[in-house]
Amino acid sequence: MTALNDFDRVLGEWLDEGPNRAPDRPIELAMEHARSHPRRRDPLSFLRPDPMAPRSRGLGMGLRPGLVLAVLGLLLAAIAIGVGGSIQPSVVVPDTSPTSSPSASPTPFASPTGPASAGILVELVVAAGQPQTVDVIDESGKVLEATSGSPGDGQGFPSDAVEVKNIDATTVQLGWAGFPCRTDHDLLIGTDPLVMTLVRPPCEGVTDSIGVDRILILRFSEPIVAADVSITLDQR
Amino acid sequence: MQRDLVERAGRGEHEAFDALARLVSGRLFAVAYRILRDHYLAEDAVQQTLITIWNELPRLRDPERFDAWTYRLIVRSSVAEARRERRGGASIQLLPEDSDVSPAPDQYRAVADRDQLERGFRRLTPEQRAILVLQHYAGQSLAEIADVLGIPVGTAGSRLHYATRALRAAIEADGRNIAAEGRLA
Repeated sequence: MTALNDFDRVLGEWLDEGPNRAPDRPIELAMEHARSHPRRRDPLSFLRPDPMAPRSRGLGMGLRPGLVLAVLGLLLAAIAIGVGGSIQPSVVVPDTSPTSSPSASPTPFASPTGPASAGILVELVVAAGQPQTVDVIDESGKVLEATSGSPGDGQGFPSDAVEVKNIDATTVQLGWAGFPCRTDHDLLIGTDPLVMTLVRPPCEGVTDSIGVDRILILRFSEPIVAADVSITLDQR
Repeated sequence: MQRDLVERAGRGEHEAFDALARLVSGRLFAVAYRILRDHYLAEDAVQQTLITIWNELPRLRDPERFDAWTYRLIVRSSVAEARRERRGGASIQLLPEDSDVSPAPDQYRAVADRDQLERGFRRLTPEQRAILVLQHYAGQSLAEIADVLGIPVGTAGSRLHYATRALRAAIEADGRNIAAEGRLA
């Protein structure tokens, strides 16, 4: 194969080869779809998330201003009515999760009110060593629950990859190993729930060289096939 | 011009959407083909992307983000097509257009490199192929790739590193297999 320092150039040249003009068929079929699905006025459009909104992290940071105003308005109205004596002062916050229109592709929005939608902090059970956490950031909105598994003593999982297996049709188990130092992981689940990145910060200072297992269990709102999950272990 | 088309298509004008689709479909197809290495799968990915553009364009607040958004959509559609293909089993792989042209002797090395690249590239995950295409074909920076994929820049760098390493490993393994077969022959 070509020398490594030429690798990028050869790869770029090779990728440059190939078609650059689209056939007409997909355009025509998309136009047919557009004609058969005329745009209707959407009175709730101000509540819908922008597909290119900045990536949010944690509950609350991804809220859209319109949504915040709507929730605040409803809360104030409910409180005002309660103070006026018409109703008991207990306030029921309505479900304000945006109702997205049917689409073949998910949107990159961390729903602020969906079940376990963003920033689920899981304290992992480990057989030895210091505390381990995983902050599960779910951009798919399909994670219902994230919990720790119970690993045994010693190291049964690889330390340079994450093993994924099904527990049942909607639940997968992620298993990996690492040093027993305190580690605060991030698990990023993309808008496509099959694409995940586990970020594992390195240990600081001297560490015990014996690895310990971590197990994270994710339950989804729909079936998920472990073999289809693509997970990258990002060791920074 | 594109901004105007984006705004008008977002309001539901079919003519504008038609013009916009024709304007961007070449770029979308080129990216999809390079990720999928299959003409028909790339067509399906482009069609799905154009339909999503029509359905969701009103939600795009900033028309200047249209290009990044469409890159995101075509990558997502291509990855989905690749997964569907993998689940569906074997497919007919089209030969490159120039495969029936016998290379001159001094070109054998280059052709061998390309064959190895093709085989190595096909062994990568769809996500790994996508990130390599975004950088080496679309010429995007790490920040742009991160924006398109909706991930932090550090994660984009990490994924690119692992994808490059995986491709090199696949090519080297391929080279060893060829050498071993040569010794057996």
